[in-house]
Amino acid sequence: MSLPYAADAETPLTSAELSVLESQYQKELASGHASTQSRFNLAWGLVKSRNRDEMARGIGLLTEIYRSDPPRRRECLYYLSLGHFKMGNFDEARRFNALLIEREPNNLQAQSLQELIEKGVAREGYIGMALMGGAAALGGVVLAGLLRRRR
Amino acid sequence: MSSRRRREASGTNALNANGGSSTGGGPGSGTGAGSSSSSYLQPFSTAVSQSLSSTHASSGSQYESTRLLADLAPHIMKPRILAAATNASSHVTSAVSSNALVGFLPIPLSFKGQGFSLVQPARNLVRIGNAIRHGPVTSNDLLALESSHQILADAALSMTAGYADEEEHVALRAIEGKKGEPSSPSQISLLRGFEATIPSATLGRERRRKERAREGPRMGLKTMGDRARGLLTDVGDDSLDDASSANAAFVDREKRKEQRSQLRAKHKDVPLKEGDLLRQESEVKREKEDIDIRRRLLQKEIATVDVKIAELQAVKDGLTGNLLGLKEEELELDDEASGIAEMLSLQRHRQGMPGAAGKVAAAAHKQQRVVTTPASSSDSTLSSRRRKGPMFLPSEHDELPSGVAFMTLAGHTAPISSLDFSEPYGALVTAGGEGDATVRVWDLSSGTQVGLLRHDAVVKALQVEDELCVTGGADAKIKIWDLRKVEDWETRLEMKANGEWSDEPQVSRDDGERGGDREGTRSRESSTTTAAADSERDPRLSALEGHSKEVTALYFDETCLVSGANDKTLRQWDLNTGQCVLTMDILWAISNPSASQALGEYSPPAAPASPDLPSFSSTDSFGTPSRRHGGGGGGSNMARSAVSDWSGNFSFPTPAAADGSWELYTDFVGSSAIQFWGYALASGSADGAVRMWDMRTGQSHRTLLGHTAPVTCLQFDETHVISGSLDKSVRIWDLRTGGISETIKYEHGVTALQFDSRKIVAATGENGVDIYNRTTLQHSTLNVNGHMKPVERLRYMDRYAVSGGKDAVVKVWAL
Repeated sequence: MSLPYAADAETPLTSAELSVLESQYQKELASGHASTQSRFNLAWGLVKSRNRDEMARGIGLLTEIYRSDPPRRRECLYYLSLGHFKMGNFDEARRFNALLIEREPNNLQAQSLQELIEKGVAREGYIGMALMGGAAALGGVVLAGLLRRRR
Repeated sequence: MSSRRRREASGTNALNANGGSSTGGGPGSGTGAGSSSSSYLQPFSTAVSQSLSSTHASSGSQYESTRLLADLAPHIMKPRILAAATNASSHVTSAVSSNALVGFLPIPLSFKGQGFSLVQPARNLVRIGNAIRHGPVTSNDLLALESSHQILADAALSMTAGYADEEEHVALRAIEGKKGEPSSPSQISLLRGFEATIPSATLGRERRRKERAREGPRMGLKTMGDRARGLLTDVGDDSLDDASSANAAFVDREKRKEQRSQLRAKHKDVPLKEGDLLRQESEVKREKEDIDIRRRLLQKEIATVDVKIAELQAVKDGLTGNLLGLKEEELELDDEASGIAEMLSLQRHRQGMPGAAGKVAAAAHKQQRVVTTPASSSDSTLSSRRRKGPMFLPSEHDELPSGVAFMTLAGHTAPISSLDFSEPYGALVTAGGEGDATVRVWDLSSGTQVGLLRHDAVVKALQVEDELCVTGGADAKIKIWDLRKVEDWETRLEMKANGEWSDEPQVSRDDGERGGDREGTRSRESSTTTAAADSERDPRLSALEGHSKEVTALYFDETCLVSGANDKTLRQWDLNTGQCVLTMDILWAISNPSASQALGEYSPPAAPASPDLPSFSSTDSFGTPSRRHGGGGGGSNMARSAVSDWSGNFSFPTPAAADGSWELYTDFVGSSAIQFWGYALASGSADGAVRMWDMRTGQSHRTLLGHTAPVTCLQFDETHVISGSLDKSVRIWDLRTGGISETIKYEHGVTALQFDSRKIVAATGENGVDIYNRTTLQHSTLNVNGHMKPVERLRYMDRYAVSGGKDAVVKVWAL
């Protein structure tokens, strides 16, 4: 299975291309049967975009593909993980990636995505710690000021 | 509070920027631009999703409503309320995950973490910050999160259970290669397909074309083409061209020719560079691969659609089957309706009668049948005998398993040659064949024999209607019996035999013998009282004599009886007077086909003879070869020849039954092959023809040809005649057209059948009774606890069937 590295998800398609994919998907949907490939095309295009709403929609489409096309599930796991990672839902991204790695331990892209997710989680943790520390410091300052004022 | 949040948000922003620069490789997840909105929903939605994911299995609609509520009235959706909502609707024991507040406490959310960790609350803080920046929670967001959680939960479950088969196959066949390499024939990676099908894939072609294109002066090709097609072109051009006369055109052409030659010279000097050409070549190759990939994708889609079509087809087949079942039910109800209508009309008729209502009227109608009891539950009908409608079966009958023989009556010592019963759980009369010349009467509700009908000859045909039983025997006599008297008669005989007789004056042995004598010599009795008492109690009512050979078939209805015998005649009798009113000569009908309008090509078939049957030691009755001329030395049965000779003794070797046995069939008229209605009579005879007679004239007005062996059984209703014969087939004739509407082939000769609108029950020479469903055209068999030897005779009423076989045993089935 050839999967794209995470960096590939950062390059969005032009809006023209995206609209073409969208129209193709809608056309197939209207005719009754939307093929997996066109759904994936649209989903991947949406995930690559910068708009959060579109990313979320792309993830929704990917979950549809996951459900309806069992042979494609492993690839979908990777794309879902990538999509959630891009959106910042590290928990889900980690879980999807974990599922994928369980089934394909030697997948390079999955491993690199794993590293990226861990880095993202760690960063969030640091930021949060810093925030809490700052909040605690602020709270301490305020408290000290109040006490001083009371005295 | 809000100011604090804003400060946190700004702090987060700054930190994020720093973090972004430090971890350069990481994607800028936090830098997505979004409109501002109620950010506090983000953590709630996350928390809700988490709690929901754990409870999704239990309540599908519940989290729908909470989600909607969250969208509509966010301000009421505090964590506690949310938690309460989800808690109230589900009985999930993992209370931890349903409490959204937990996310803010330093307690780890999952039980995996052992300690007191600050990571989770820290991350949730960051998430709040992100949420502020990212904008409103849209339905897409929620959908994505929800479905992802569902998938994760499902996948977690399936992991413990084992991998799905299809995924395994994928794993085995997938090649992990670099991008662009086509994978195994069955699996094309989605990304490759993406690259093949996005619109930008086609750009390359245009680009290449442009590169190869030569720049030259505008020739105005487009306008030329448009004008050629009759389309409007730019007014300007038009006017210009129109204005310029041929002169100008000529000049233009000259100029263009010059320019073209110049260009050609130019291009000779500057061809496309080799690098460019190579690049174009590789691009073309890649695009060809793209085309291949697209083709494969389309083929796979077609295959998927095919599978779907097959599934839908299967669904359709199931539904059609249901339709057929409905049709069957409808036919059954039709039968019930007609039966009930008959009973209604009968009751009304009875009520209309003067005097002591039904009793007297019924008695007046049938003098031969002594009806002493008033209309019992099984009313004796004034109309047709062979009722089709619902019988009065005891409710326990429904509890019996269908298709299983629940009663076995053993007693005969030879294969059952004929049987009939009055009603389900009523009286059954069976006759044994050669070697057992007894006719036994059984009580079907207890399953025991109650007596004998002493016909004193092998009985080949019998019929029971209520309490009347008519038997036709090998002594060429037809006797009529009253079944109600059988039991008492048996006890009387027993007592007489045991010498316990004390009621009557002591009779001598002589008298006793004569008392038991059935030859109608009552007048010669010395002790008339005994004789009178005896005759009163004797179940034998009367005897009909007239045939010269064995009676092999009979059918009676009310006061009219038709019998067939080996003297090749059919006789019609009046049961009131006991006289034969009409004799129909089958032999004459065979020899004079012009008299009877035969349908189809008719040449009287030859008398059967198969001299090439080595094992059989010939007897007199074997086809009398000496008298047969031109019958065809090949010995094929029923060979059509100009000369027929049925006048001799007839016999026909039956086709081998399932156990290999066969015998000589000598009945000229099949034992179940007579039925009449009003004055229309149908008979099946040994020449394989089914004949319709008019009993007013005594002539056969129609002959149905098709069987190639003696017809053993037949039945008709308003539209069809169904006949079975030793040629291993059952034929359904349509009375309106006179042609065969269906032929059902079996493995062995058919010896008995009965049908209604939905099924044909037949004895086809096998140990099981065959039931052919006329709506679904399927066969089924009654063989559970069934016969050990081929079934020869059967009769059924509603859902109660009785069968007799070569094993001398009678079995009763619930249909």
